[in-house]
Amino acid sequence: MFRAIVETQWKWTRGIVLVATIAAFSIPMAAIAIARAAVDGPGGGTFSVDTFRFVTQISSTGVFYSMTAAGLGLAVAMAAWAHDHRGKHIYALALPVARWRYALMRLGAGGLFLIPPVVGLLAGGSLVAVSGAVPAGLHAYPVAIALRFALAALVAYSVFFAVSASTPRTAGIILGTMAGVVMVQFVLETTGSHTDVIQPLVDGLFGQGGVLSVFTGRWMLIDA
Amino acid sequence: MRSALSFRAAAAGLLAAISTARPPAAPAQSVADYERQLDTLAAQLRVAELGRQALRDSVSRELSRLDSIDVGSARILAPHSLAPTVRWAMTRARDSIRNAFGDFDDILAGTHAGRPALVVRRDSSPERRDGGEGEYAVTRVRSKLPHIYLVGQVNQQGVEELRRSGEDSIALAQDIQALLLRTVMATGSPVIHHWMGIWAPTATVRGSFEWAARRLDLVGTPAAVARDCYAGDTARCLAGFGLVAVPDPVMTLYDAPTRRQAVMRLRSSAARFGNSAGVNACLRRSDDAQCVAVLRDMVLPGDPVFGYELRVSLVEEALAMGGPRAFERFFRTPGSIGQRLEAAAGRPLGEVVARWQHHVVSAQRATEDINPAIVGAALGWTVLFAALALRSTRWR
Repeated sequence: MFRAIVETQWKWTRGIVLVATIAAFSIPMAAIAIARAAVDGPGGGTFSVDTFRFVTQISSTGVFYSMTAAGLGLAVAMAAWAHDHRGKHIYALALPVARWRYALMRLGAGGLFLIPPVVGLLAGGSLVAVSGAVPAGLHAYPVAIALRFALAALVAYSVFFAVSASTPRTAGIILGTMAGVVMVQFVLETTGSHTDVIQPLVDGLFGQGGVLSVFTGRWMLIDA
Repeated sequence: MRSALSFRAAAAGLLAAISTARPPAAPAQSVADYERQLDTLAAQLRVAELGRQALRDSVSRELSRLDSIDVGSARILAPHSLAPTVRWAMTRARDSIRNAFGDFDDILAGTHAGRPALVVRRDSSPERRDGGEGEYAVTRVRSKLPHIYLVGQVNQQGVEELRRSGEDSIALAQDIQALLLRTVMATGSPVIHHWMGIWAPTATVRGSFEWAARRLDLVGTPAAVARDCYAGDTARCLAGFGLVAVPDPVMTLYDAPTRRQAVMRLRSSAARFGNSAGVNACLRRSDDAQCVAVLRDMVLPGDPVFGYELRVSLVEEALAMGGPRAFERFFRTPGSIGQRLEAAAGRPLGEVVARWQHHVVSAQRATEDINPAIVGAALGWTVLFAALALRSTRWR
């Protein structure tokens, strides 16, 4: 049954996975091209590189890894439930399995589809590492960045999978809570209050141990 | 603008008078000839006096538009409207220097007596193009000019300029502090000049960003000694800094691959010295003997291999270790850089370098971004949300 779910879910998701894999494979190439273009002066060679500037340029491309991971997680999670939502879950209800078991299979199938982009990133990063374009003294970390990408995609996928799997009422509560926080902050600011209710939430989400902490920090394919 | 023109006319008159007021070239034939020459000289002197008077008036007019602000021994001239801001910024800069670096009033008193700094509103500058509101420039007279006549003529020869947008008084204080520090540094020993170049220490406490930048400077230095230093060999750090004598620097501080890297980096300079053939042989044929020959021409024994940024960061490490007035000790202690660093830090040189090395090596690494905490948090949240998804009530 799991195989059947994987096969059907693959048909809904393969376009997304293909685009994400190409993107993940390309980001390291683009990053190294941007960094080299920034530091290579006229007649510059592999050894004559301002390493600080090079690494700064590499660092500035880090956001594309996290954005791709987040987008991948979101799209795969949405695709996993889209057909069930459209069919009012009749197909799932007709199956002789418990609801949690069915959701677990959907979750597992979607999780499998995160692998190709991770492999794509690993391949792209490894290609950069062996290309000779990395300046002397610096090192490429394709495995570390691929692992981080995998974790970020997994977190994004599980969050959006849970939101998508929940009732419209639950999704409404989540969105309503977010809008309410923004509204409270707006009211506080208009009344001249210096209380900041958003920042603690942001800190909680992105700070150490936060649900989105894996997205923050430096995504460095190349560093010392 | 009019005053600038009148000044130029007066100065031109004065210079013309001076240039023509020479003693007679040939012996006089008679007393009458002497008298005629005397009359001519007297007339020229009168013209010169008039020119001098015009110049004095012109300077007085300019000075009347400025306030002279003295804080300690430093003096800055600024337009009336900027005077309170400048006074505050000067006090802050002076206190900051005293707290972080030491007391240099004697040096500043000597250098600023004939070289006041000017704070000029860009509005008064004839060369203003950007139309920015409230932008100003801090200028310092480099040469010992007899008169202060650089208001509105910033960025000309003989003037150093720092420019800021807006009237940020803290930024102004930082500018003034940098200006005063550079003034102090300019009077320092050649040993310090050779070591630090144009850099002046900016703080005694460095953040992780700065250490990360120095880490990259170190790993990007094309020399085996840099790699060894980064790997933890403190003695090699000392050699890279040029703080210990090294018998044959080209062979001791470099290996074959880094010699080639160093030649690659120095190839323009080597070519200017007429050693293009050696550079080509080194780079194209990887001929190490040629690399050695090129480097022997370029690398002076005792010269530090590590760049200015790394050297300044070592000074700042010594300052951080030494506490109050550490920079003053570094600056005033006679002797080598090593002796000055020891005096500043109050610790043996090896300890200073070892601590610097620890900071550089332990600066943030990319691989540290994937640590057990991040992996644990990501997996934990994934499991939690997965469990929530399995408990969905959509089918009820």
